[in-house]
This record gives sequence, structure tokens and C-alpha cells, in this order.
Amino acid sequence: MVFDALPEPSDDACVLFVCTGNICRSPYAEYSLRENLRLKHASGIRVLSAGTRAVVDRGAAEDVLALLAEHGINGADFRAQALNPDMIETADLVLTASANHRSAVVQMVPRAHSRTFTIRQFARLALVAQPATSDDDSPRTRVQELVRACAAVRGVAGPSIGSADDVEDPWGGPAAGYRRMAETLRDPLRTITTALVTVGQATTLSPSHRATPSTA
Amino acid sequence: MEQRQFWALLHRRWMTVVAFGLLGVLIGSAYVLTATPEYTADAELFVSAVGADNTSDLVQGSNFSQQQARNYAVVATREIVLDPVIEALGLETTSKALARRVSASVPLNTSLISISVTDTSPARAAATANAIATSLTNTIPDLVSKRSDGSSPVRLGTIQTATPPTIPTAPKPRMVIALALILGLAFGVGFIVVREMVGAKVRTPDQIKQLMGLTVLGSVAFDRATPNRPLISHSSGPSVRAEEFREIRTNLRFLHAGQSHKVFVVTSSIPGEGKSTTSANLAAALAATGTSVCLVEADLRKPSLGTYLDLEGGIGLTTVLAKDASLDDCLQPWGPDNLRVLLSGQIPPNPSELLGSPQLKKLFNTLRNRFDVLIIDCPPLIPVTDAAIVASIFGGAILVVGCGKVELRELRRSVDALSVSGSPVLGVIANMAPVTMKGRYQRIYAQADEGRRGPKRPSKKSLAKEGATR
Repeated sequence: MVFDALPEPSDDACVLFVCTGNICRSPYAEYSLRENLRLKHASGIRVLSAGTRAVVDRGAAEDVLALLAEHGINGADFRAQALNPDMIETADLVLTASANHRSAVVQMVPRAHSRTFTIRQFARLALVAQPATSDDDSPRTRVQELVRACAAVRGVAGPSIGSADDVEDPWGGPAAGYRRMAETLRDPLRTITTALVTVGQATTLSPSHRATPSTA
Repeated sequence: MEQRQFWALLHRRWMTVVAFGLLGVLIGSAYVLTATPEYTADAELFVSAVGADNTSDLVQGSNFSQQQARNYAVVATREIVLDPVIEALGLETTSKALARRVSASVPLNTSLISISVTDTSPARAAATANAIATSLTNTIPDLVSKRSDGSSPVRLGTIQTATPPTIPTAPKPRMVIALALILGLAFGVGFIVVREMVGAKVRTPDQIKQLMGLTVLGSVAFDRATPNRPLISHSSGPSVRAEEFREIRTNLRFLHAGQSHKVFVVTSSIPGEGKSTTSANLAAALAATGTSVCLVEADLRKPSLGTYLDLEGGIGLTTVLAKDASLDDCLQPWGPDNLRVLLSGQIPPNPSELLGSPQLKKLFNTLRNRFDVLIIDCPPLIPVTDAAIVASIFGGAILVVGCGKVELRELRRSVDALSVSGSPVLGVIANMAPVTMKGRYQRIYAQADEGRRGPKRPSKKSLAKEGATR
């Protein structure tokens, strides 16, 4: 999906994944989350990815494509793109592979500090956050509310785990590294999917349902 | 070191002293077990003057023999006596060496000569003693001047022959072990005193008060769980720590009294005393009263607040100073009470210069005017001067003292460092303090409380009350 081809900002929410080359971690996360959302019939959430030092126009790594194919996802049309301030400004939620990427994003657009998290950090926060949404809210407002709620519980639920929050870069390594990356991302992405889907239907679900999203 | 301090030290470190004592006993016992035992055999001779005819002669003879006994006792350890002994017994030694193992004495007011010989063999000791007695008896008549009839004026008679002793005289186990114990204990006391002099750690808040004359704003008891849960807002269960910070918060009201916008510069002597967690907890405790609080991380060398607070530390103080972003963009909200946090931002190459720059002063003043309370977390004082620079801008600093962590002389140095820059220590927060009696009671109460009501934040009403007194 090419950023320039996107429609003007709308009621749709936008989630942006960021890693270094935009060919391993972030495309995997992008395609997985989009597939997760499709399976839950969630609409109104766009998912993108970009790289801080992107290998522009390159396709995703072969190992990534293979891993995606295991879940029946075809990532052949993916092309890497470089992170730019506009993307960050447009995104309602920026999820990064590691704390370094988070720093890079926030240094590019300082205002984004309240909606930029590492993937695992956001999953951790989503488990305890309590967003308050109403039925009339657009998907975008709902996601923004989820992000606000998650930002508010930073450090309250527990200190950051430091670099243990990072997703390792498998680029240039063996296939096992890619699989490890996929496994590291699986649970956090599930939790994030549930949080995004749940916040979309906040009024119809009991809070207890949200408290244990990883088992969903 | 005063006597009271000495007893306190002894009370604290008695285990070390006892350990040294036991070590002494161990060494003593080992010596007793491994040393070659020595045996002592005694023979006694009687000295008499010959030819006393009447009572006055007898008295004179008695005096004479007592005097002579003392002389002969000395002769007993000389080669004239010992050489024949060595020859007779076939000993492989010299008279000088043998003399060291022989002692001859005259019991007070007697004319007896007691000859003692020590040897590793009991039989040889006895034989030697007897041989010396015989040799002395034979030698003396040749030495003294003869009477006119050629007879000797004195006679020596053996009154007690030496028998091989059964019990060794050395080493004496009880003596040796008792001595070793005393020496060990003495060494132990010396050791802890020297160690205390060289690397005395600050132990208790009282010590800070008494030795340094500093005001203690409050103490935070040592808690094993702190490294995992550094911030009070996420400690579940009975929160004694939260109560401790509320107490400190109350005491803070008396600092900078009369200033409507207060700035507290928080620092410590060395890294690891808990100044960043203390700053964060203090800021959170203050924010909970409804006061507008800003926590600033002025540690531009080893920032850590971002990790504790789970915030992105890539933007902050240095970002604003470099004009890469506006102050508003870099002030991150944290927690439920609208606390604002300005983290360090990217680590600059020249932290001290930056902290002393007029731009930073201006930034601090902007923040001071915007918030009721500004808490500035600075790097430790001993490695770098940063904290002293910032403290001098705001007329003093709050020192976090890690009990059992920082040495007394380090604390003195950091207080000196502050006073050199013209800023006093406004107060001390004793971190990792030993749990006091009071603390224990609080813990019990908190548990009872917790059981009744479950975890709960202070009510709006009580907060408003506390806020009003500020």
C-alpha cells in the first residue's frame, strides 16, 4: 500500500507500524494486524508501515512473505517506504518495533509522543487501559480514545521493561530469527487487535471481556 | 569516634567481632593440636654448710648456705655443669642450647636449688635434670675454696630426684585458647573500627541528623520490591511507601515558605541512591493533591526517568533548548493526576555547559511560572557538578541519601560541593532507611486498613483539604 495513494483524512483511523528497513518487522506487523482485523470484521481502521531507514520500493523479505503465507496472507504487492513527518502526523497510533524507533518517530514529530509506543508496550498498556467511548463516535475517535487511555496508564501499570520491549531485527539472519520475530509479535498483535476491535464496540461489551483479551 | 557511636557500631557489627573471636579459637586449637608437647622434670638439691659446732655457727651456716644456693643455681646453667651432662647422657646438643631449656631457682628463704628441664621427651627431661643435679653436686666442691683440712665447706645433697612427667607442660590448651579468643576479639573490634573510619556508610536518618546536622524531611523504608515497582502508584497492597511520601510532601510545605511557585532540586551524592524514583514519587504525590506539578529530568548524562515512567525519553529538555520542538510538545502528561514530565531528550555532549546556560535558566523560569511546583531531578553531586549548578539557581537542593549505600565522607563531600556553589541543603530524604518501630506499626495498620476497604486512592475531600494548606 503506497502512502501517497491514500484518500484524504477521514473518519477512518490510521495505525502506522515503524521499523528500520520496512521490509521485515513492520510489514509483518502491518499485514498480520490487517488480517486480524479483517477476521474480526472490523472496519474503518487503516494499517500502514514505514521505515526509519527504509529500503524504498523493495518488497518484504522472502522469509516474511513465507511466514505471512502460512496464515494465507499474500504480501507480494508490498513496497517499502521511508518514514516522513506527514505519516506520523496523519497516524492516530504509531507502533514501533523497538524503543529506538520510538525515539526516532518522536524526534521527527515531538507532538506524537502521546500516540507513539513500541508494539509490545502498547499491548501491555492495552490490557489495563480503560477507554471510554460512546456509540456515536467514529472509528477514528474511538481509536484516539484507546490511545489516550493507553497513554494515561504508562508507568502506572508498571515500569517499562526497557529493551526487553524490543522486537529483534531478523534481517540478514537465519530463518529461525524470522520465526522468532513472528512469535514475539503474535501475542502483542492479538492483544492490540482485540483492543482495537473492542473499543469499536465498547458499549456492547462488558469491561471484564476487555480485561482478558489475550485469551480471546 | 565517640563512645556512644562505638557501642552502636559494636551493636551493629558484633557478628564480625564474634567471627574474629571464633577464628582466634580455631587457630589456637589448631596450634594446640599440632604443636609438639613439651615436658618439664624437676630435681631438687639441698645446700648445707659443713662444720657447725654451736648455735651461732648454725645461724651463720644457714645464712651462708642460702647465699651460696643462689650462686650455685646460676652455676647449674653454665657449661662447667652442663658439659659433663651432655657427655654422660650422649645428648646431641651444645651447652648453650641446653642452658635455654634448663632453669634453676632458689625458693624464697630456703637453701634449696630447684632444677627444671624441659624436653620433648619426658624420660630425657627427667634424666637430664638428674644428671645436672649430680654434675652440680660434683662440680661445686671443686669451685669453692677448701678448708685447711682439705674438706669442702659446703655439701649438696639430692633431696628429690626427677621422675618422667606424664602431663606435658606446654602447650597449655586452656591458656592458649583463652589467649587466642581474646586476641581474636581484639582484632575483630579493631577491624570494624578501622572499617568504620575508612568506609563508614550512612545507616539511619538519625545519623544524618546528628552527624551532619541536616534536616530530615522524611524517610522511605527499604523495600525489597522497590526495584521492580519503583513508583508508588503501582504498588498494590498496603502502601506504606505512599504514606511515607505523603509525609515528605507535608514537610515540603515548610521549604521555600512564602514562595508561590516552588522549585525543588533533587540530587544525591552518588548514583544508585534512588533520587530519580524519589523525584518521580514525590512529583506524583504532590500532583495527587491537585497541585500543578512538573517533573524535569536534568540528568543529561544517564537519564532513567523515561524507563521508570514508561515514557519516550527521546524528546525533552535538550530538544527544547535546541529549539527542535516547542516546550508544549515536549511536556508529556503522566498518570491520573495531570503531572507533566519534561524528560532529558537526546544526550548532549556538554551537559554542564547546557545546564549553566542562560537559555536553560530562562526555560526553568518559564516552567516555574507555569506550574505550582517544579521538581528537578539532577545527576549525583560527586561525579559531576551539574546538580550544584542547578541548585545554585534555585537556592538549595534536596539531598536523597541512600542508607547503607552512601559513605559518610561522600555525604560530607556532596554537602561541601553544594555549599561551595553557595546553595544549602534544604533537607534530606533518607531513602532505603531501616524499617523503624513506627514503620512496623504503620505496616500493620495499613494491612488492617487494606483488608477493610481494599486499595483506594485518597478521597477528593481529603485532597482538597491538603491542597488548601499548601
